[in-house]
Amino acid sequence: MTRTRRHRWLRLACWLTLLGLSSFCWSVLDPRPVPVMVAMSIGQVIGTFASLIFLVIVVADLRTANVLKDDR
Amino acid sequence: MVTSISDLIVIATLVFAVLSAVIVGWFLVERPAVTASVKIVLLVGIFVLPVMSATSGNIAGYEATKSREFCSGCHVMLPYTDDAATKTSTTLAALHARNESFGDENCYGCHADYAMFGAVTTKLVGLKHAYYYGTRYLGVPVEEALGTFHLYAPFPNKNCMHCHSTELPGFVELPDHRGALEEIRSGDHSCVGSGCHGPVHPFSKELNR
Repeated sequence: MTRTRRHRWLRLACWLTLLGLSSFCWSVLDPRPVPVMVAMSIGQVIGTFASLIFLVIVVADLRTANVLKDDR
Repeated sequence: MVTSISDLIVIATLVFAVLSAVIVGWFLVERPAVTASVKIVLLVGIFVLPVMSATSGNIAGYEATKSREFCSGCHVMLPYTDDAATKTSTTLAALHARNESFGDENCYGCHADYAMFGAVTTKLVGLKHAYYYGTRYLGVPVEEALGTFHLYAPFPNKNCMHCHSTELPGFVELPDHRGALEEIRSGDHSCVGSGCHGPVHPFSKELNR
């Protein structure tokens, strides 16, 4: 993964994190059925997806740096 | 002013979210090179803090779903929740709402499933409510909707017996209870039927006709 692509994916993860968190903030500030259900379903999926993107980038970086290489 | 654990959970959700937003906002605005230290900061901003915010947010959301105010979020429930909140109402629902053991959570207190995974099944049924509300009752006037909805299954006596053990002398000695004790305990004879302790809500009577 090139540095530019990695940066782009990280920025996407950041935007998704903000989106997921805003849904949770909305649900605790306005605890009606729609905000609560949105946060506990869509917000959850968005946040998980953002974390997965970050994880993939970290693993890709480690692979690029040969950290995960088996030396045997 | 913080008055309860629930308030603390709400504040924790907001604090974790704001801290996370500061970190990811910094990354989006400053666009720093993705060095090892930046990655550690992002680990906190994209993973650790959001997980903490989501955890406390889910707890806050779960607690919110127990409140009568949450139930009244669907407009067709307003006559029920308004009755329960009326200080002068003598319906069983209102009497329970005035009991501090139920209070603002009186809808959940009576309609929850008290089995081992009851919290989960109660929430799944709640999703079913939301589905029906979205597909059938959205935009339907309350007066029109009132006569059309009903419980998915007869109200189980075990929900009443969660508090009323049916074992105390004051309960057993009542002739109406004594005569049907086994049926009451097994659920064959409903506690909330007309003639016993029903109708629980002022509208149930019309539906039972």
